[in-house]
Formats: sequence, C-alpha cells, structure tokens
Amino acid sequence: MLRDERGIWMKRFWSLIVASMMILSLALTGCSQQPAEEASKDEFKSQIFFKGSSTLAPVVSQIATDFIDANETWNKVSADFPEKSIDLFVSAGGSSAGVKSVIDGTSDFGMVSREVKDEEKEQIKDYKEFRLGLDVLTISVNPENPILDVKKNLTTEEVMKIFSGEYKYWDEVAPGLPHNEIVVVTRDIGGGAHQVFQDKVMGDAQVKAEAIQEPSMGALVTKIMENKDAIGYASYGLVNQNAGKITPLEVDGVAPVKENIISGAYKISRPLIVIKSGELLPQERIFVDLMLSEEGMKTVEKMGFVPAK
Amino acid sequence: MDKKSKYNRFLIWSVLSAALTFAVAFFILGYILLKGGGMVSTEFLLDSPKGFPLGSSGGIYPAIIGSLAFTGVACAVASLLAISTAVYLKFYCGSRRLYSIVRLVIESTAGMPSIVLGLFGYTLFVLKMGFGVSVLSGGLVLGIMIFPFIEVRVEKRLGEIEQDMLLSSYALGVSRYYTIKRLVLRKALPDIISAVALAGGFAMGATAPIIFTGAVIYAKAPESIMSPAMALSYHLYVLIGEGAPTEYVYGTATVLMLLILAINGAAMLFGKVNRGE
Amino acid sequence: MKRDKVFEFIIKAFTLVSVAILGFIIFFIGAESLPAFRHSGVAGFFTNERWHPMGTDPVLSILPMVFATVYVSFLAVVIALPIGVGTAVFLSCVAGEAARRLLKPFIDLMAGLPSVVFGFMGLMVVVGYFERHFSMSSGESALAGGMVLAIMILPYIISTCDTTMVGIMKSYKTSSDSLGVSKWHMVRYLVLPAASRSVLAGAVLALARGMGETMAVMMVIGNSPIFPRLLGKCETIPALIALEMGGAPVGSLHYHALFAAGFILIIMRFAVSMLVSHIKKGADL
Repeated sequence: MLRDERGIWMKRFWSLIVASMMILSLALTGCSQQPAEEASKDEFKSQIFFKGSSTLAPVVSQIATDFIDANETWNKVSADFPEKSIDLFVSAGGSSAGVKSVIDGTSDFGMVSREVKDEEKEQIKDYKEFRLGLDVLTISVNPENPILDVKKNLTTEEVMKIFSGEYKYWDEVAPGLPHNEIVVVTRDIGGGAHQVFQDKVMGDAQVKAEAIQEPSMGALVTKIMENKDAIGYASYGLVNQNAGKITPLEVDGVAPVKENIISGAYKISRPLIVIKSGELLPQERIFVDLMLSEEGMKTVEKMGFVPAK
Repeated sequence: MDKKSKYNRFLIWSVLSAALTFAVAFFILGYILLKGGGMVSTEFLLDSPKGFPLGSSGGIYPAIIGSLAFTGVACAVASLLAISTAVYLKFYCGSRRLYSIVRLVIESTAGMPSIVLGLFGYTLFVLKMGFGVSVLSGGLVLGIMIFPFIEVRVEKRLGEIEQDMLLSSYALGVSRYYTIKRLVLRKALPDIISAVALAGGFAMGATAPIIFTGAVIYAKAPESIMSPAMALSYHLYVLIGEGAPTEYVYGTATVLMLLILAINGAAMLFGKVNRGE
Repeated sequence: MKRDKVFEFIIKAFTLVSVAILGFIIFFIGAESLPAFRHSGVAGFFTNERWHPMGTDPVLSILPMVFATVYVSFLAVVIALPIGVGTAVFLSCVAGEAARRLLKPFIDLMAGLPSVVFGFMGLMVVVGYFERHFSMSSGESALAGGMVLAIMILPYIISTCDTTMVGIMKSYKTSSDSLGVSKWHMVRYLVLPAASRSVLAGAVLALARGMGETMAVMMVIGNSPIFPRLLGKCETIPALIALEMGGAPVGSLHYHALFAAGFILIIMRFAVSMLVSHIKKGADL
C-alpha cells in the first residue's frame, strides 16, 4: 500500500478497535442473564444444580446418585413428567460460593454449612431454607497423642488457648506431656467451618497465624491422622468414617456423641442447610422431599452427620 | 592434572544432575502408575462414581468425558484465535507500536495465575453472558489460559518459514491470502497441530480455572456444552480433599496422566515444537 | 481479490477479539481490586499488621504473601537451576544422539503433568519425609513448597537451556574441533558463557512460572499468612486466593481484597516478564 493510504487504514483500524471495545462492553452489561432465564419457561427443566459447601456436597451427591440410579428419567418419577434424563449436578466451592450462586442465579440450590447471614438473606429474593441436619465440629487429635492418657477433656478456654497459640507446647496443656509444638490445623479462616469455630469457641481471640490452613475438611482430617502433635476441629462425619485413626476429645465434659448433639449439650455444631430463591418447581419439590424423607435422612446419617429428624 | 580434575568435576556435575532429574521423573511417573495402575479396569473407566464419600468406589467415566469436552472446547477456541493472531502479527501487522501492544497483552495473560482467570471466567461467562456453569464456560476459560501458549509457538513457527519462498510467492503476484493459506499454513501445519495438542495436555491438567466455571463434583457425562461436567483434574483434587481411599486417588491420577501422555506423545509425533519457551 | 479482503478481515477480527478479551481481563481484575485499595490505601495494603479481611474491623496486609510468593519461587529456582543446567549440559553435550532422543521426551512429559499430581506427591512424599526425618512438628513448609515447585519448573529450565546449548554446540563444534580444543574446554569456556544469557532468561522465566503456581504449592506450604522462613509455613498469593475465594462473600471487602492480591501478582509477574525480555534482547535467541 502507498504511504498515505496506510495512514488512513491505521486511523480506520483504531476506530474499529475503539468501536469494538464499546460494543463489547455494551454486550457484556446488557447481556446479563437473559439466555439462562428464557431457556425454559415452558420447557421442562430437567436440570437441577446444587452449589456450595464441600461438606454437604457428598451428601447431596449421594442422594442424587441414588435417585438417578433408581429412576433414570423424569417420567419414571412421576407420570406427569416428560421422558427426559434426570440431570442433577453438584458442585463444591464453599458455603459462601453457594450463597453467591443463589444470589446470582447461577445455581438452583445452595448448600450451606453455616447459618445464612441476614445481609445475605436480604439479597435473596423469596428466601427458602431446608435443614438437612447438623454437622458437629469435634476437637480431635491423633490416637497416638499422649494427651489421651492424661485427660480426655478440654474446657472451651483450654481449646481457645491452644488454638490462639497461648499454649504453644503440649506440656503447657498438661504436665507430663512431651515438649512438642502443638500443630494447630484449621480450615480456611474465611470459610464457614471456621466461622462456626470462631463464634462458638474462640470468641474474640484469633487463631494463631502459624496455624495450618487446610483447603478442605478431608485434608484437615488427613493431617491429624498423619501427625501425632496435630489438633484440629474435625467434622463429626469424617471422624466417624475414620474411626480409630482419629480421636475426638470431650469439650467441657461433653462428648461429641449423638445424644449430646441432639440435646444441644455439645455446642460446637453447624447446620447443614439447602437454600433456594423463589418457588420450587414440582420436580425440585420431589427431590427436596426426598432429601428430607427418611431415606434421605438415612443417607445424611450414614455420611456421619446428625439428621434433622 | 589440575585441568583434568576440573573437567571431571564438571562431567560428574552434569551426569549427576541428569541422573537426579530422570530419577525424579521416573519416580513420579512410576510411583503413580504402580499405585494406580491396578485400578484401571473397564469398570473404573466406564462406571460412574459411587460410594461414601463419593468416589470411593465405582468409576470415573463422566470425568473422563468431561475432561475431554473441556479440553476440546478450549483447543477449538484457542487455536482459532491464537492462529489468527499469530498470522496477523506475522503477516499483516504494519505498525511496530501495534505489535508491541498486542505482544504486551498476550504476555500479561500468559502470566496470569489460573485461579484469577477462573474468577474472571465466572464473572464473564457464567454470570454476565449467562452460560452458567458449563463445559462452554469452563472451556472458554481454559482457552484463554492456553491462548498465549499456542500463539507464541505458532508465531515462532511462522517466523521460521523461509523468507525466499514468501518473497518469490509475492513476486509472482500471488496474493497474501493464498500464500498464507496454501504455502505457509500447509508447511507449518504439523507444528501447529503439535502446539495445539501440547496446549490441550496443559489444559487437561488444569484445575483452578474450572472450579468455578464448569467442574462439578458429581454429574453424568455431559450431553451438551451448556451443561456442567466432571473433570479428571478436579475430581482428583476433590478425592484428595475428601480423604478418599488412596487407590482411587492414584487410579484417577493414573488415568489423567496416561491421557495427557497420550496427547503429548501424539503432539511430539507431529512436530518438533519445544516445550521450554 | 474479494477472498483476500475477507480473509484479512477475519484474521484481523479474530485478533481483535483475542486482544479485547485479554485486555478486558486485566481491566476487570483491576476494577474489582479498587475497593480494597480504597479501604487500606495502596501503601497500607502492604504495611498493615496482618491479613484479616473478616469481621468488624478488617485489616489488610498482603506483604507476607508477596514475600512468600517470591521466596518460594526463588527457592525453587535456586534448587532447580544447577540441576537443570547440568541436565541440559548432559543432554546437549554429553549424551549421544540416540540417548538424547530417547531421554528428552521424558522431560517434556514431566512438564505436562498436572499440578495436582505434583501437589499430591509433594504431600505424600516430601511433607511426610520432613516430619519423619527432620523432626519438624509439621512438614508443611516453604522448603517443601520450594522443592515441589523446583521439580515442576525443572523441565522448563532444561528445555530452554538445552535448545540454546544445542544451537551453540552446532555453531562452535566444527571450529572448536578443528582447532584441537577438547570437548570439555569448549563446554566450560564457550558453551556455558554463551548460553549464560539464555540460562538467566530461563531462570527468570521459571521464577515467573513458579509465582503463578497454585494447586501444588497450596497443598504443601501450610497456608499460614506469616512471613516466610525456610522451615516455616507461609502462604503464597495464588494459594491465598484459591483457599479463601470459596469463603468470601461476593461484594465483600474480602472478595475485593483477594482480587487486589491477584492484581498485585499480575504486576509482579509482569515486572519479571519485562526483566526477561530485557535479558533476552541481549542474547542470541
């Protein structure tokens, strides 16, 4: 191209860039959630999407799998439904991600393993909550930890001092114990599990900064199982699944056993909730009923949690 | 004598390093294959995950299909865009400034931690564009992640095309379009395919970008790109996190590894594209 | 003629789309970070006492994480560089053609392994080893992170150096041989110095790659938001984001703070990239 021609082309090219950027940004803001919504006003929605707590996810997945195995397509569930395959999806990402997805509308149900905050409830249109049960946070140690020979109980204050770092070595907790550093294991500090622990045990004190933050309850439990000096708030369900490899302690004289949990005597617990925004579709209603039914509760219990009923 | 011992030390250093490197490489590959190889059976490959916690028994079929789906979308999108960009930068870009700007943008993206891309993907694809958590959203994010990878390699390969061939073509009056399509791309095709395949292997192993955009803990094998799917990399991460029995973890890792090795192997067969740049 | 223009248009359009999307990412992350910077002030974001974005009086300090990110990557490069360069020398100068062709693919294969696998192996092997043999209270440490990361970046260093060295070998071999120079002399005094720029570039590139690694590092460093020490736990920025994103309510300060952390990471990597291109400009790549 001739020199002056090139200049004109460049100008045009730049304006093309500017124009496209504007169009792009317009498209992005304007596009919002229309595709998702208009998809199936009249069509039968064969998909149900759960998102949220990684603690609750396995439970819902299990119920979902059993449901799908039993039925395969919606018409086997109820004659009114069309013959479409049952698509149930379960995704983890944390309780807050679960709440967020319900607010954003990117999921049908949120799975939350803590109380839903008021500010969050405000953002959810037509808030609905279904309680599946309770998860209890035990204070657990490795079975080879010598503290088990000395005392099987810790007061809330002692737990707080251990986790805050005020007690740094095991021999500060009880005389006769080895002078080993206490390995405090927690979940991610911003997450649901930790918030429960913070509220019920720590109060205003902070967990020490040197505590290990594990990305999931399973990793937390694994850490305690592998390390003799570790202590952490392991989920009741996982403790039961790994009985013998991890030992829970009593807190304030109360053992984390079923009777105490149901009676409320054992305090460090968190609710397992499924939330939704808006009215339940009939197929969703059926699945929710299933989760809350005896069958569903059995699954909740089998996975090691305390069922709501 | 002194010189000789110096050289000997040198030799020892290089041989030892190589030995160490390969020992580690073989150890990792071997360890996983050993512990997980036993798990690979038709049941494992074709069944869905079951058990308490989910994944402790049954198979990983949905995850295999899901991973392939995510990678497929990613490669399709990324190769289209990356090859175009490479062609543009090599053949059509006139101004030096424009070239630097584009290079700059690509460089910055290449550097972005995958989790950040995942967050961006969630906001753009899942939320704003309404694709929801799906193979499409996840695939697009992965595509962004591998875009720089492909672009750099394709551009390099395009740059290696002999100048005389190009010049003769133009001198003969052949249009730029025809030159590129019939001569350049044809010659570079094996290496381009190789680059895309390598990128695919990379995408298949990525976990962070798809956590919020496409991967789920449980789903059936995806039937459309608008539905969410399981992915081997994410499934592996979930299994580790849940404390599932180690055979299943190693089994999943083995399948993932074998798939990636197969893709990389195919890539290497195609071209001489190098990994390191 | 028509087809020409159409093709050109398509090419330009696709490039535009690509650049637009990529550019948008940077813009987006920057935008989401602003509330955090507004809260703590840009300087404050680095100098406050600790990282505590929750609760009634949130405090944000990213400094320990910035240090940890650089520290762990730096550690990884320090560990991987001698081994990597040594292996590259082996592959390009010592090994015969056949051996090289046999062994080199394994390096590339290693580079293709997903990070979760490395993280998993790191957890099982490295962390466990530390706890058993070094009587550390817990094996999670910056060192564990450094070692795992080193293994992950090793293939990149080897590849970069090897390519350059092979090229240098080719160009110098004939003249060197005809002058009667011994192979080792050539390697020591010709190849290595000539490759040094490339080695440096490769090292810095590996450093950048290490800084962005999320999964593997997160699984072995303990994620404590404190200043990194060799045997202490620490938290790199990618690990921070991956760990806390699930729990941060959208639109909260915590959420924006995580984006801000991500933005800082992008800038850090960018700085490293600039360094690389500066070095490369002097090298014969």
